[in-house]
Amino acid sequence: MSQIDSQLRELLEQAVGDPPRHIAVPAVRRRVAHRRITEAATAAIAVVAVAVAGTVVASHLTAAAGGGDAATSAFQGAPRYYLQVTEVGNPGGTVGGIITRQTSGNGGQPTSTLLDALVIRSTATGTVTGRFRCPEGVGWWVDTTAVAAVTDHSFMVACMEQPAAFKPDVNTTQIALFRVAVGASGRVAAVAPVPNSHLATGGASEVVGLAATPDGGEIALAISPGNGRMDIEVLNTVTGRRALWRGPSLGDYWGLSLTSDGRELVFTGSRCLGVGRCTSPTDIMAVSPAGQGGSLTSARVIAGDVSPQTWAAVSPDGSTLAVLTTGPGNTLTVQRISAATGQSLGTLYSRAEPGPVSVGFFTADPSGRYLIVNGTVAARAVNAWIRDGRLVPLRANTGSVDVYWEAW
Amino acid sequence: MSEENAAPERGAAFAQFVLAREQALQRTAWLLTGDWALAEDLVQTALARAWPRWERIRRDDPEIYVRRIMINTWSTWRRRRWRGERPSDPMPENAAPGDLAADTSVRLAVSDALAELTERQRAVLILRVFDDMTEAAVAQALGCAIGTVKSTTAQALARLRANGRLADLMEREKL
Repeated sequence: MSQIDSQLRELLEQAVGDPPRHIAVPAVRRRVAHRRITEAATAAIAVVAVAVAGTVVASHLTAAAGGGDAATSAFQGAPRYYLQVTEVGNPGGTVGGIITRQTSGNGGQPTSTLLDALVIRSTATGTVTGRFRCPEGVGWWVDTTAVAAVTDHSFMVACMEQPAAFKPDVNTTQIALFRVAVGASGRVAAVAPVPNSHLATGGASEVVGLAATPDGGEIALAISPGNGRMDIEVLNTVTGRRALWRGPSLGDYWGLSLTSDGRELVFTGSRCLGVGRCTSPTDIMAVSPAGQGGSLTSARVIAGDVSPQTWAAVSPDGSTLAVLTTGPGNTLTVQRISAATGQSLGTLYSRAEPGPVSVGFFTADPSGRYLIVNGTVAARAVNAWIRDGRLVPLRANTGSVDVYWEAW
Repeated sequence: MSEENAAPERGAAFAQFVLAREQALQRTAWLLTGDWALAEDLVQTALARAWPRWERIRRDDPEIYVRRIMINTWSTWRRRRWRGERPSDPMPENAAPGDLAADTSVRLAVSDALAELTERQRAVLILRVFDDMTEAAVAQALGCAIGTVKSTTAQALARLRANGRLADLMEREKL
């Protein structure tokens, strides 16, 4: 390196300094899940047309023979509304109605990223029928996966507060949970704070996953403490009792779901990640929330050595799981398996896709029957639910949005 | 190695790469964007785009590949002129450690000087000088010939030398 190169490098080093924040692996994983969907250009419809091409033609004929409002009939039985976490793709949009998240800016000046708008949409039409904002104000934000359906018409939302003044190593100062009830018209009918759910975070923690029982008595939170680890905490909102399961270094856990009685918490993840002598594959695991907590490395394995893109949702009675897997090749499969044996009980959807499959998220409604699949298939976005072995598009008619998470 | 065994290893390798390199990648991203928030966003975006191809990338040189994605993403952002960010709150009046005036002076001089370069000159200079990548690696990261890297570096350095403020600072460094 020449002298001038060395001098210039010194200056560049001096100008740059140290980044104010670390980038955590879970944050990158969540970013992977973000999928841009361009409904206005009917891309979603085209995607689903691609996704279902080659499946049973007779089912199309059946749908057509149904007559009347085909769009409405296709959604019969499914929850009428779903909650969607999006990033609004309009930089000129107003702050009102949009939760902003403060990040560091040039020279420490705070900037706002338009982030995490929570909307309620009609399943049949995609129309926005309601919006939710964390009650305390603009200092509160909702993480992308911190939303869960509780019953057919209510959701649990984790709100996180950021410090008033930007601090490099502080993500959140407190976390609070709210139960959001949706009325018959799809509007927010009531918002109630969940008892005993206020958490002082110690600065770095973020809630990155959420599951709740229908009565809201048990809530499971996937928490990223900000040091590359992920823990799961189960909160009894009646007694205030908490049980913490600590994850290993670099551990990652997703797709939390609880049985309706709160006796079983199911999730997917890596018990450890190939560091040193540990070479654990991805597993579907379970812990009993009634326990005292412990280490996630000792969680009970329901199905081991599964594809790294596996997601699972336990049925309300805990007897079965809906499991999404990828592979071999570009096959996307959703099966019902036995929670006791891990054996397949039937296939809900399966298709060898024409290109790589990347799963964004997989969620179930409180009955466990209606399943949402989000991701990309052969470089095209898919945001749909499974009905009779087909993917039915979840429409959103407000232009281009990034879908982060959905629950119904 | 079976696909099942390869999967967790891939996740581990990716996680280790992120932990080991995120700070260095953010520094490079700051030189490209001049803004820590955008730098963080840029690195996250690049890593998220690298992940689906990680199995292939890690057999080659992930560092080059991720930087290539970063440069391409940054270039796209510049063309789009929108990065989802906008100023909001007023500047906080926090006490700053060290010699704030001197640091700010260097930072502004470097930012202004880099802003005078073309996209390619800026990218080549940062990868070659700041990240200390070889000419061959820069060529691979940018998808161009080694000769192009050499000539672009020379052009970039010539333009920086013509920048009075930066030249003064470099002269002081020499002392």
